[in-house]
Amino acid sequence: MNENHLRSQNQASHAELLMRSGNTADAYNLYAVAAAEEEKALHAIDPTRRPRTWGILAVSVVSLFYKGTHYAEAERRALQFLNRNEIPDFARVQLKELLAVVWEGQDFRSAGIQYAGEGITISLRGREIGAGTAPIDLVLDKITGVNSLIFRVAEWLGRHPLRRHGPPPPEIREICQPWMTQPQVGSYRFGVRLVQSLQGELIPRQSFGTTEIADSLLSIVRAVAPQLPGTSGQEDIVSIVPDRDYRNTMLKLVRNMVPDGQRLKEVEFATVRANVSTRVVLFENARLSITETLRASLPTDAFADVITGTLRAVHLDKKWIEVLTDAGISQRCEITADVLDDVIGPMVNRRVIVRGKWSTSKHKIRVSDIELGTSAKGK
Amino acid sequence: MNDFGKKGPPVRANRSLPELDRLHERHPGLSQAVCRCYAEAACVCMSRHHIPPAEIEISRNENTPVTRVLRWQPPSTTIGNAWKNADDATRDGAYSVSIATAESELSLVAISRAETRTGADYYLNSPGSTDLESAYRLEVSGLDRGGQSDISRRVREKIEQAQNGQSNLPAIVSVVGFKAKYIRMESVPE
Repeated sequence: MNENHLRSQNQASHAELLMRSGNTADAYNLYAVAAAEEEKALHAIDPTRRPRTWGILAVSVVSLFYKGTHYAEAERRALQFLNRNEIPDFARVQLKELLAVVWEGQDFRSAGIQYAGEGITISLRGREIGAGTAPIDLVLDKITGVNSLIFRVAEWLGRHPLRRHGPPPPEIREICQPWMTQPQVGSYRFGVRLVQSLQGELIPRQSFGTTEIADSLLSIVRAVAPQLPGTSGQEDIVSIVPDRDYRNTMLKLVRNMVPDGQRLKEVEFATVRANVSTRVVLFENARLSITETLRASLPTDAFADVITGTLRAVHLDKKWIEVLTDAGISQRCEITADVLDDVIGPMVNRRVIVRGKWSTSKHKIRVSDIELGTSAKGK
Repeated sequence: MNDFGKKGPPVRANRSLPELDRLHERHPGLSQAVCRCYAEAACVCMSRHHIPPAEIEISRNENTPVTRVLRWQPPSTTIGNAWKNADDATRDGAYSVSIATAESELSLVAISRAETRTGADYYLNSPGSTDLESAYRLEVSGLDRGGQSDISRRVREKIEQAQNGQSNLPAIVSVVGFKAKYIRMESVPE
């Protein structure tokens, strides 16, 4: 391997370490220098005689420009290389993926935001899921759920008081804005990218960033989802989120995303960094685990009574909901400030299980917990 | 021939894996700074579950597993705090241990590193070779906890991924289980 490539790889290694230490400006410059060296190495290779080597270095050149946020340079090279007939298939695929993120980076830059480099991939698997296709209601549910959970995690990391109503505060939206990526082939898979406003660099830095948000989200899901025995990294949810109100909110948001076991069997969350993926899978049995964890945080008789039916109306300010029960009765239920709009909102017009305690008169049930129902069974 | 189809010097006769913080002396694809960074991560990962030295079981394709001793310095509190992101430490520690294992068991060294969209790939070949064309791309994964069956499952997933679609082959998949003290390496056929 020629001297230019050796220089490039050392410069790229150094740039990576600068990024890790937070010295992003110097890292970006060094990535661009490394890209130029790698390009010289590439020009010394005959693609007809060493196609694999050529493909590897071509991808490396574009990657280095991309990592240095030199988007125009990355775009120009990627298009140039893709125009070559000799390019091996693996390199073609990788260059097209790079071009997509380069264009994204250019779009974000003109919109005044920057891609923070963090993403969470959500994969859905089940009887009704095809390769790259899925029922709209299932997909929208999960997108809404992930969006809500991301903002709650960011607020918790930022030590904001638990938001009882309304959208997340502006400073949280500045730090991270979940953006959907297009679905990918194989099961049904979509990505959520965490981006942050360029304006965010002008305000005092938060003690956390998009990496911490993504990692915390996965830790929380992993902690409540019974995994296969001995799976890595499972911690107790109470130690991850000691604040009871935040913990219960996040548990309920995760529970909203648990598959029903019929239409949908698995929901997988994954992050990928440096080719290593961290994954956690939600199966149907997570629902019981989460419900038991919620129950443990409440008085012993809080789950004494149960009704099931369709959630027909919600009034958060007047603190009531109305459930059309399986017996055909419109039952008004009393709720507390613990019932939050991003948890209950997705449940309207859907089957629910309400747990609580009947009033002495048996006219009203005071709600301790409400979850999406998956079958006729109440408990 | 070793079972990856390459001629090389005999597998190391002694029972230790190479020192993780000195791999750069023989692996041109690993800079000194990155080598030490990865080695530090491996120390943090191993110290979560074990005290040094530890015996590591290594399984390659269908061969009988072998045992090698891994030695490391327990990390200071400062170093432990610097690696507070468990996933980063597991990833980087797995790189260190995998590259050491490739040297020890396959007589292959990391000859080069090349950038990708999400990180970098390391390429393995015989010591002294500079040829990327025939080099093995190293696919690494780390598991902090979990047993041998979890590691084997991860290996199967990585091989499936590498075989689907247009992948950069040949490749070697290496999954490192830190608590399990188990490494599984498999080649991905072209």
